[in-house]
Amino acid sequence: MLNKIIGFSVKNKLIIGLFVLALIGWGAFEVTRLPIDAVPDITDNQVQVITVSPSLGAPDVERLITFPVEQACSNIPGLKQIRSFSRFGLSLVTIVFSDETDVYWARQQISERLQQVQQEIPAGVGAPAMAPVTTGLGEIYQYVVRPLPGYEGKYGPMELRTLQDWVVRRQLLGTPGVADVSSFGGQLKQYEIAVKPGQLKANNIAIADVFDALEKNNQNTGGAYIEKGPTVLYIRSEGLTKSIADIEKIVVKNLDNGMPVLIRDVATVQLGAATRYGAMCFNDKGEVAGAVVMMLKGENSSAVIKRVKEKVADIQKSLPEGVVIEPFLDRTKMVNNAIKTVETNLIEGALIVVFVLVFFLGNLRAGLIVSSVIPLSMLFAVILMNKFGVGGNLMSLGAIDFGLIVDGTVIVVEAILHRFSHSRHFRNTRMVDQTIMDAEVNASTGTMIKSAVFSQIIILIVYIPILSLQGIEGKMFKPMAFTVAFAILGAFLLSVTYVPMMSALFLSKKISHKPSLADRIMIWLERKYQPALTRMMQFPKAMIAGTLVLFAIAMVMLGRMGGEFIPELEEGDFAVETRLLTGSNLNTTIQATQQCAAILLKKFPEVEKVVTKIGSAEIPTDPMPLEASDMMVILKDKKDWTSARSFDELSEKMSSELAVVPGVSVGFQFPVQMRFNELMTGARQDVVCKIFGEDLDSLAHYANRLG
Amino acid sequence: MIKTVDGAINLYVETVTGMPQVVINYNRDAMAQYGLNVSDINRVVNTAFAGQSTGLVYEGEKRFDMVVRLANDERRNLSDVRGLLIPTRQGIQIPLEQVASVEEIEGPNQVQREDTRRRIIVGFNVAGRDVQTIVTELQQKVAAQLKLPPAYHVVYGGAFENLTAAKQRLSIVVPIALFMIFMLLYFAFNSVKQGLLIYTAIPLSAIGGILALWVRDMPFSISAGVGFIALFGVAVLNGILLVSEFNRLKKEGWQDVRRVVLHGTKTKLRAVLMTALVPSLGFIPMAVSNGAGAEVQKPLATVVIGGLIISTMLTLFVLPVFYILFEKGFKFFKPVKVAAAAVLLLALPAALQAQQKVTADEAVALALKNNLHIQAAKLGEQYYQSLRKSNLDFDKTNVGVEYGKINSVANDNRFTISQGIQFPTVYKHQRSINNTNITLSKLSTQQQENELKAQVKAAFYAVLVLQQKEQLLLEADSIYQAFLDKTALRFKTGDVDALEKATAENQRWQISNQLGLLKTDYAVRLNDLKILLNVADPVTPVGSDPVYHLSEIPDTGYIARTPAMALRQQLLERSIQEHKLEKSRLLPSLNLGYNNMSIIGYQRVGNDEKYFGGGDRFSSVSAGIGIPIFSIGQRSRIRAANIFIQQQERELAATRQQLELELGNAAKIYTHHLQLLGNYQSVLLSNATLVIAGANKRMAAGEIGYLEWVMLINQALEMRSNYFNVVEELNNAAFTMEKLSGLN
Repeated sequence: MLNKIIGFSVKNKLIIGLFVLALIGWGAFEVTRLPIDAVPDITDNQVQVITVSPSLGAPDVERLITFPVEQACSNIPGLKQIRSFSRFGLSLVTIVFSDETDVYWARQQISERLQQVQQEIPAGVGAPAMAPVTTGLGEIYQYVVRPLPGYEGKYGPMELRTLQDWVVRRQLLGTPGVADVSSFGGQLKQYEIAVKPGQLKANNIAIADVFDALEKNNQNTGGAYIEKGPTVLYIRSEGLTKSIADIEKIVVKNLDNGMPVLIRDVATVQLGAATRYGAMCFNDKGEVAGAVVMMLKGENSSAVIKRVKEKVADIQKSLPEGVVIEPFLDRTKMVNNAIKTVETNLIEGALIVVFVLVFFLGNLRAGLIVSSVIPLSMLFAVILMNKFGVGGNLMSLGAIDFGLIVDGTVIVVEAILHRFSHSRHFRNTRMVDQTIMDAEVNASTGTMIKSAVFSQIIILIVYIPILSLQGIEGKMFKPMAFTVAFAILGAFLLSVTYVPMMSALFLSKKISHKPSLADRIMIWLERKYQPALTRMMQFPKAMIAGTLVLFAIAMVMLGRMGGEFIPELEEGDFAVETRLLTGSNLNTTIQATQQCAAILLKKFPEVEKVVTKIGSAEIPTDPMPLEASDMMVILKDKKDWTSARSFDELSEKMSSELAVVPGVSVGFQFPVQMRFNELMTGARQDVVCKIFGEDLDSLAHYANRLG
Repeated sequence: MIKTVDGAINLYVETVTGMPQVVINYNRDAMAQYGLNVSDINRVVNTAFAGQSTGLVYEGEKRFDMVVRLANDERRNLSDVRGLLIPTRQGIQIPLEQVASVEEIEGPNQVQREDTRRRIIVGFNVAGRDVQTIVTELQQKVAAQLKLPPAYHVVYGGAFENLTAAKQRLSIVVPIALFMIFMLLYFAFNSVKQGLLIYTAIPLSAIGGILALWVRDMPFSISAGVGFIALFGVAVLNGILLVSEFNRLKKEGWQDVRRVVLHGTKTKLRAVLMTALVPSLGFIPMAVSNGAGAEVQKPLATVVIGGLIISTMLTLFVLPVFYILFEKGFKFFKPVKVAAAAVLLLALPAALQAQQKVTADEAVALALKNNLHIQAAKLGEQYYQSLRKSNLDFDKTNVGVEYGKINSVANDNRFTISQGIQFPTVYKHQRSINNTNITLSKLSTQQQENELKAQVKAAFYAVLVLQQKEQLLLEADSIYQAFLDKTALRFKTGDVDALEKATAENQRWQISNQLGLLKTDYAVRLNDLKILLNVADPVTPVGSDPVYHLSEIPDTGYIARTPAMALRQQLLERSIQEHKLEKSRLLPSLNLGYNNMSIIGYQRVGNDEKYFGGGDRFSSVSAGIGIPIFSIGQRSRIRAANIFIQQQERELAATRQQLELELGNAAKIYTHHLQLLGNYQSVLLSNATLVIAGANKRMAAGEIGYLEWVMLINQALEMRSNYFNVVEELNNAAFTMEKLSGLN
């Protein structure tokens, strides 16, 4: 049957040509639609349930909130694991589902159960809510809102946070593909009625009274409408407090002598800040506000980032003068790095393949024909990738070896050429016409096609085990297997249709029997090879023994070799996890990290900027305590570095420099990698030993011994 | 523990406690006194320090919480907490410390749970070494040093978890893929042999991949694993190319496998090189790249490049060899001399074995070790050793149960257990018999060995003698051959007549016949020796002197030392012991027993009638002896044993007589032949040589005719031949003497 197809292709060259053109067009279109990211998304399917309870301590949070939530959600079908985290003021329950579970369905299930749980949780303690639908790769764009130099006095943390919440975030939220924008740092503005207890006592008023008074004095109402002649007049009252002055004038209590006690008599009304659990600093210039833009699960990151950037440019215009939105962690940088690597690899690989082909075949046209299969099969692969939802990233595109894909084609073309130059048929001819060419191409392809088919099938088969991988390694390598499989399929189809057609059409009809350079080299090689082979054939036992010995050595080496999961991807920037002593307060942490930032900026010219995120964000998907912070050290391009050559070296040097800051311990990682680790295992380190048990004190004791 | 592991950095121990907290503990008595509720006080605390929101303030669209809390400087320290004013029902306000204790303690900081159980984390990053080795080392240390109570256990996770999971999965899936490849190959070539042949490309390519990883000092990661998978595909492809070419040539009619291979590799060389080099070179940019993400691709590329290069080398050289082997089998390589040499080289140790030369002592040692009779005799020894304890042959223990109207109308039950034994001396005598048997078996072995030694030596020296005889015959053969040649020549020239020629020819043929006979004899003797020695390959005796030297001529006193005599002695001993045994069987046998029964019914105990039921047991013991009253059979046996003793005594004497006779005869023969030998060696042999030389001279000078010459030569040769006969008989006599006297 294959032979029939080959014959058909060779005869009807125009039809095949049209097909190929259609392929090119369609493929090019699909390329623009291909979702491209740096790495495949390896976070598992999870939903986080966050409950903020600012006044409860850790044991209470665990008892009152975490435990009921865990219990309620523990019987959802498809559940793989439940992890939770209870801290002062915060409960975070991470529910991990199997990959096949639809995350929206899972959220629905959880939402139902959360409604029931709400009744079990005592009133006023907190309301569990689900975190946005995002993944480990979802933090695509992180920015700070900071004052330009000279305007620092005008815009303090409170103003910046207000701008961030009410101007920037609000406008960003509408962007398609954005799941949420989580504000960070700054000071959340509040109207604070700071009560003076001395005054209260003097007037015999309790705080509860103040409370009640405020509640009662802050409402609007409506009075429906009255008719004024032909028109209708709507009545409404404005009782909402609008300013500090309004609040100050509220009556708390009426004294016995008829004098009203106003709020301003017993309290100072001012702008205050909510008790904060997180802060953000820019370089060593103090506090700023900022946010993390989280992408919806499954979206195309480059498309979303593009939209976000456009939006940010718009928003910048609506900000007052002296305030600027400055992104510090932008996924495009990482994607571009990775894609550049991919591009370089692909292009260089393709060039080398072309060169080698031309060299070996000794025939420029034949080499070009085979090489042309490369982009065509890639286009074919991209079409199928889009159809099957396989994303383009470092793993799927970067590991494609064209040599592998065009192996089948090579065999076919090589056979055709061989036949012409070596076969007895053509020993005396100098030129052939088209019909003979067609027939010859048909025949040679036909003979080789079985081997070619088998070779392609075998390469396909060896990629099948990769498809069986699950979990993280599955997410990493399955795209690669799919892409290669598609490319091979494309190459195969092309080698039974396009290649014979092109060979018949474009290969030179002049048959030269003069050996070309490549031929001469081949002959030389043959001459060296044959006697060597004959000699070897006379020592069969020695050869077999030698081979077995080599094999044994290799096995031994394999056993001794260490194992690593997946080598680390260098993302281009550092995320430095900084920790102080437990129980340090926010100011201490801010001071210490500012010191660190100053050192880094001064001593390492490769550092572009340092943004420190202390504690938790507004949506605490990553709840760090007050003593912990992530220092995002944004670095320049690797080729501009002066202090070190590799990321390992640089991180070591930085570590030693930062050791001068007392009480601080640092750990260097990469941002996305850290996020992955944390999301998937609940910890940020490479290796984590978990000790399970009942009593917290015993656990602490064993943990210390282990360390 | 983690601190002691190399390569573990950034150690992080999760802190779950130790966070300083201010804890307000309510004093309920005081609260009751003031009529306060917990919720009231809670509310005040909350509002004062945390702040409670009472509503929202709108600034245009923006909303801000309106929060009531204590002024900043009123909530700074512990005393502020203590002094917080709580309103009571009575209207007064009291400080908090009056109704609660306010303390600063260290309390729980955070609690992490997993799968509804509490847990704590100890984590670290890795640098410098790979994850696998670090974790294994840590696991060992923990297992040895950290003992956890029952409800506690440690689990290792992080990136490491994934590695084990992935490895596990790959270890299942990769073999399946390999199997599928094999099935495919089988379907393609319809031959298991060829499928296997191509399959060998896979391990060969794996070698290359591993070497490449090692050279670049990269650990084995999942990336590299994927690289291996790709590598196998291409390696198999090369194999397919070559083998299909070979098959195609064979189908076209090529017969010689070597030519098929040579031609096939020639035509396909370019294709193979291309299919190998194009992917390898295509991966080079990936293998050396340093850009972002390169670390993930480098192992993959390295494995493929290294693997393909090595595998192509191996395919081009090893695969054709395998193909030939598979097709033809090993016989194919015989005609090639060099190959034969190679084979021989490898088989040299075996060959050496075949040409193994032994001295007399070595031969004897070998024989003693390997000979089947000796081995059988040794087994016989073991047999009697095993029977040593067979004297303790007690009777079976009797256990019985009775049920029914044993004692009265009630149904009683009774259990009995009894054991009988013979009178103790029976066992003693039996034991001595067993010991005697053991000694007998040992002596029997010795006798076998004796016999064997003599046989071996006889065969050995016979061979030596034959070797010498052969020399002699060869010499004679050459003499006669020379004579024949000369005669034939002279016959042609007419100098001699047909009679002389005929005589010459006859003599010559006689000699060669003898030579032939000798050769046959030689082979037979060698075979005898081989059988006696019980070895796989024939051995060649080597010795300088065919004459066996006996150390001394034993006199009859030595007879007593021979195993044969000792054997007889022991037999006699045993017969005596058997007699004693039979006698002791007349002694009485003993019997001991124990009964336990119930006696259901009323019995008088003291003054009362007591009822004993089925559960009340009554036990008793019994003893008895067996007296052989009817012992006619036994007595006849005793008498028979007695007679047997006498028989053995006679046998002993007879054996001694015979041995003495044989020894005496052998000694006589030996002494006589020794004398004769002396004669030969001193005079006769040299005479014979003189005769031969003289006859030749005279013949050449023409002084004697051929008849005389023939006669003289024959005489000389016969003398020398006789010498050897004497030697042989001497040797045999010596061996007999040695055997009989137990000297060997």
